[in-house]
Amino acid sequence: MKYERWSKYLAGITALLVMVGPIIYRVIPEGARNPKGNLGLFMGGVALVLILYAGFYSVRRARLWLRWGKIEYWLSLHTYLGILAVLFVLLHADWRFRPGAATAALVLLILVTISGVVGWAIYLVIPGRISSEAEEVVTPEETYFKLEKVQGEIDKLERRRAKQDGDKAAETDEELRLLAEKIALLEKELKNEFRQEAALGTWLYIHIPLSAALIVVACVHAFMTLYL
Amino acid sequence: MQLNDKSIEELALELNQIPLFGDLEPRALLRRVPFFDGVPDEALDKIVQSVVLRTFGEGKTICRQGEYEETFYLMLQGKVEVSIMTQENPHISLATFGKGDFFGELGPLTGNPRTATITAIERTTLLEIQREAFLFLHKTAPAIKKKIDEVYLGRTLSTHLRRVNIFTHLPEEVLNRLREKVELLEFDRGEVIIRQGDAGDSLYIIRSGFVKVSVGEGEKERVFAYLKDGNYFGEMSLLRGGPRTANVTAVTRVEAVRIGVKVFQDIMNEFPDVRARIEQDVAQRDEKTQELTNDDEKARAMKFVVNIGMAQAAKVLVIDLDKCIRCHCCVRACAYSHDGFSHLERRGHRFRNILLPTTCMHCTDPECMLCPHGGIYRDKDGEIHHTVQCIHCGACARRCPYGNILVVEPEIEKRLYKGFWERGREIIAGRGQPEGEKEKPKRRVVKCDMCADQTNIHCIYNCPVNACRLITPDEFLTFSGG
Repeated sequence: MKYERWSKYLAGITALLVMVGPIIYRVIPEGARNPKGNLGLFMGGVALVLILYAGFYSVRRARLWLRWGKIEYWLSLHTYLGILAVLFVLLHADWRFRPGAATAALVLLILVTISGVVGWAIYLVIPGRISSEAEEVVTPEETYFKLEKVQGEIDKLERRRAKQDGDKAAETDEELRLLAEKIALLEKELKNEFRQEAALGTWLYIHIPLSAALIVVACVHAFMTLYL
Repeated sequence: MQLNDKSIEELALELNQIPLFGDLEPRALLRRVPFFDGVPDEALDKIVQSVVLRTFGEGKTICRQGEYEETFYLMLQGKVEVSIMTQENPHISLATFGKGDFFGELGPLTGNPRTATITAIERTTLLEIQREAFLFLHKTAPAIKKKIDEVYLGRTLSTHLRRVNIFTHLPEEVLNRLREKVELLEFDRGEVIIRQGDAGDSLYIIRSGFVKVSVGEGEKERVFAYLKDGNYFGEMSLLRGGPRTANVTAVTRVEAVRIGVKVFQDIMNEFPDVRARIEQDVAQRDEKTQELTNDDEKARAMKFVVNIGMAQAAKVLVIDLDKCIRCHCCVRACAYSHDGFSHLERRGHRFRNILLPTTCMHCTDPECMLCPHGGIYRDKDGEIHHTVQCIHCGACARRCPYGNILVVEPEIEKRLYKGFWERGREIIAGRGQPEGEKEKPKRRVVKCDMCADQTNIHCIYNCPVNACRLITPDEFLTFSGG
């Protein structure tokens, strides 16, 4: 199936479940909606699986040599399964919150989701804005390429300068000064590119640690519920 | 004794072991083939290593239309069928060849892909001559050159005319008649074939290469179309009278069939459906020209596609910088899958914020392949690869007119494309950009081959936001807003 269609189906199913799921769940008798009842445990189990599966995206992303499917599909799954995990956790908890690992996991999940949505928005909006505001978007390779070229010119001039004196030497010095300025400008450009890149990735320093904490707390909660 | 797939030199050595043939010289074997009559002994001595005996069973394909191969075949026995495939007909039988015939001269002569498929219709034995040996013979033996050039012209015309959509349904005898009256011309890159304002005296059909149709020159040039093999041009002034309406310039080396105005008019009068087809094409071209005249952005996109050589490519890799989130997954994935050396460099031609990173244009006549070490070769699909013989001297990189072969050092990549954890560790440790390891950098010559030897194109496979993708030149025109 083509990615666009596949992604649309996934988004549609997620939206449908988010809208219809809570309504259907309310129809179920209150006794059956107990978090420790069969249905509640089932919902909790599904939520845990979804959290783990969504979390696996960072493994895929960090290991680019793996042949586990297109990373774009993984990102879609990560996004939609993350949203569905919130729904299933809320259904599992039946909208009741008591202090403890369960509530900690829920709070973490909500924070992870919010940070994820912020990241999503950043990735949707910022790259386009950078390219529309900049005179010309540059990639690090382009700047490196220019830097290498200017450095080559400087090396050539310096070799020539060693054999010169008088007016010619002064002329070459001036040329060298201009090239040094050019280098400084390009380095500034490169730093700027790295800064923009860092800004684009800042939200990850919140999203990833929170996700790791969520997985630990959710697993502890599941273990406590089942075995203690 | 196994004789198949052995060079003439190896064959002679094998035969030398039999007392009767103890003093048999390799060239004496070639001397028995009439094709080599008139070739000096020294020339034959030079090629004996590069001439190989091949046998094909009935039904086996010897060479396939569209594949890049640079070997020449000389038939010793058996029979083969020459066929071509067109959009309308998957199998058009053109001829059969037998003992003493030869084929495959186009590949080594022009670097173009095979124009026909050759299939053995009975057990066939051939001599396969490698490109260098063939070109050596073509250059040093006038008798062979004359033979080959005559046959080349005749065959080129007969296979080509059959493949042109306006002539594909014409009866054989009409095509044969037409073949007698046309010329095969060659144009160098940049040569103007038709000049705007000149009198229209002929129709051209492109046999190989690319041309652009434009008006104006330099900055003011407006490109209306690019045409490739099988397309024709010059029809407007013949149909409507009046001077040429646009310039037609060769973008690559071009071979074109020229049909004079008289012959053209005769065919159109005799076959009204040819006229109807051409008129239909002219109407479509008019519409497209009108569109490009009215829309500056579209015209700029078209000019870009033609001028950077993109029109020659089946598909090109692009990076949409409006979507790119600067995660560097593309470059990192490329490096992971190529021993730590990324073949992708995100610089190159750009149209607005669509970047065409340095990727091979698959030139018809690749200058990079002039490698004295045999470090680079072209495979059957036309893809160019470096071989294990490559010494990474960078000569091919300097020759590539598009700057698409790179000399890379892994150090730079290490510094540039750090992953999340690596960057995190640096921030915690309060370090800036590390100096990189001090070991002597190893450099390597690389070129993007779209991961030809692998199952996925890694940069595309690992782009999370679909910024990195493959598109056709036509899709580019739509995608870029052109």
